[in-house]
Amino acid sequence: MPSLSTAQEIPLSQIPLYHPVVVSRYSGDHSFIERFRELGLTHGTQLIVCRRAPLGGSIEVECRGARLGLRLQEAAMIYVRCAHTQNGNGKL
Amino acid sequence: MGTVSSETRSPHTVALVGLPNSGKSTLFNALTGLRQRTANYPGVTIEPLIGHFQRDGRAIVVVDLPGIYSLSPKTEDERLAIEFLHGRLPGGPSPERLIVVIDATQLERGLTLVSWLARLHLPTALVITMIDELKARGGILDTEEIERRLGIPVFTVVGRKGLGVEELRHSLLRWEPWGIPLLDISPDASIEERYEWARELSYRVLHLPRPDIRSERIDRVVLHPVAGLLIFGLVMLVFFQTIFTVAQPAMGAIENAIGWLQGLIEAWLPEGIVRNFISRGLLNGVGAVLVFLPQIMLLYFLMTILEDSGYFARAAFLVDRLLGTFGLQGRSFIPILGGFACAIPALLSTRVIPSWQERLATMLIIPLMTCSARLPVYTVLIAATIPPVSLGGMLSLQALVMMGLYLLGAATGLIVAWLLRHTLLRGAKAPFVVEFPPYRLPTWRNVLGHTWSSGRQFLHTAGTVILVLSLVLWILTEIPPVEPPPETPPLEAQRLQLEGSLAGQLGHLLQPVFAPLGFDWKITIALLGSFAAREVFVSFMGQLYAVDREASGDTLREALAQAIPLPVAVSVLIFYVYALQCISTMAVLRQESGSWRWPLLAFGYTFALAYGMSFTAYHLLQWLLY
Repeated sequence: MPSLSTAQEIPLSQIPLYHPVVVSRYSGDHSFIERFRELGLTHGTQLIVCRRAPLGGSIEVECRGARLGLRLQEAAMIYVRCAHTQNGNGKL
Repeated sequence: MGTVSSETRSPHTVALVGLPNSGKSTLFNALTGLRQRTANYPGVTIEPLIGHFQRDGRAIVVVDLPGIYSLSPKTEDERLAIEFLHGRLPGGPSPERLIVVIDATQLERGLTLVSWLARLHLPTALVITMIDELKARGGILDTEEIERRLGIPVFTVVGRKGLGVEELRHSLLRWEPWGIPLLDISPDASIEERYEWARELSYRVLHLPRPDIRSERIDRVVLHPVAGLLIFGLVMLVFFQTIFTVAQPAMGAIENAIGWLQGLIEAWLPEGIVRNFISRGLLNGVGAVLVFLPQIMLLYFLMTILEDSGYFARAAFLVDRLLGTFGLQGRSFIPILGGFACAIPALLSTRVIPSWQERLATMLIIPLMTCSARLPVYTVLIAATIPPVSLGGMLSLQALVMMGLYLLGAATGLIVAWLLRHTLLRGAKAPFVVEFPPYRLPTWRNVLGHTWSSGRQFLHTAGTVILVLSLVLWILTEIPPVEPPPETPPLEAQRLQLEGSLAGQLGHLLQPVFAPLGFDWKITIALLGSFAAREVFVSFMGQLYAVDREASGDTLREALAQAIPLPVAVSVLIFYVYALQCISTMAVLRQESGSWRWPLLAFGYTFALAYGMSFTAYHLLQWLLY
């Protein structure tokens, strides 16, 4: 499991389960990113990866009280930072 | 209370807007009493549905729009909703007022949508749904504070139980003045600013509910790597098993009823063109349409239950990986499944697929799924020509062949999708996102209502075309009238009529085209007749072999068993797996894709597949058997 430091920006697709993270930037197609932001995955939003799809390929993310299923390759467009200010080991 | 004039004033138009899955459609049903789909699956409302209610000469027209997230559309159904809200939808009325539907458990996201909609400057009311779910999870919502802060009326409803709906209806009927939402943010605010505004507002008005533990508990099983896949397999098994075992008796009953009516007509009416028209033209046509109704309605009955319960969102998440390897996505799953009943409703349901390329690829392969119209062709030909032996004492060869035909179509469809997505239809415009709604018990009203409306949709779209083409077909078999030489037995006269008719001439004319596949002229005619709809093959074979049937007293099955050797039967079966012989499907594909290019492409590639595969199968079997 990669250790998460607050300074590091990591694609959402590589975040381990139950690590609270915060959206920090995006990279990719404009209309994809706009849809992510409209869904509530805005800059600075806290989210948690709470499940991987049984066959792989997708993750389930909890954000603003909603649960969203995202493909790994598309989740890779969203870069996140660890939500904790001290260190990145805080598990829920 | 104001006086109400007796004259009927022109109706007011109100638009129902909300995020996908916010409970809009349930509210729409409760408001207007119109039967319509309400699904627990994001984006299932595929076109604006219009309902109305009236009292004392005042009529209110309510338009239920597809769910949206903002005013910038990413998908076809969002574009449709937003064009309508701007009053730019051709032929559509302009909305005078908005009812914004918000799921109480998703307040922040709902309020963000309100902030976008405020830009329309229309009188607006908020309707908060799922308030019962919020309360059950310990949440408290101060609706009066929302009213004060936004300057618009707020109603709370429990649409499934109809609570609070009457107050909203009253307010509309009295046309009480509603405010235009007043927001303390700039009209040009960014998405982030809007979410920030919504967050602050919901912080003031909402005591947060506990998380939805029940749904999470269910998901732990339903989306478990092992249990989840087993449940999915089981659900699919029960799904298809029910469709085929339960629909069969109903289909048989309809066939028997038509046969009984035909017998009645032939016994009562004197021989001639009228009797012939009613019995062979009209009743055959009606039968050809009605016989598929049970299976289509059953499929949608089960599908609505799965959708409304929230399972389909999970299923889409589950199968996305699988469909993704073929260039499709989780949401293609429902339309493809629908294709096993009838391509027409399935094509319409592809509007939930956000990306155009994925949607088009899905639409182009739906005709390869074995729809219920092929089933009678398969059933008759398999029963007539495949030996009824059992393999290993358990599986019958006939059932195996039937299953093989279903798999052949579906597997080819996935390969074609992959090819399309790597050539003509590359790329995508919107991400694949599934929203998981909480698990809910489906309501009978919604399930039965949608089952009924899908049946009606089939009768309306496909039924009319099938019936008209059946009648055209009948005419083609009746003209020109062939005058038999004197003292010809009636049997021989019928055979001559058939051979000499336009249909017979056409069959003979095109016979050389299909001869390499082993088809005789009768099969060729029945094949052409199938362009009305595939199942016409059976009624046509019935008509064509009616001669033989009456001669020997055999059933159609026995007549076919004698007339069609195995390689020819297999060749015909494979032709039916692939060929797009359904004009109604092509018409809907034209309507949904906006051009004739795509239905023609679908027709072309399926015909090429059908011809090539049938040719191969026929000659292979000939070589193996003889």
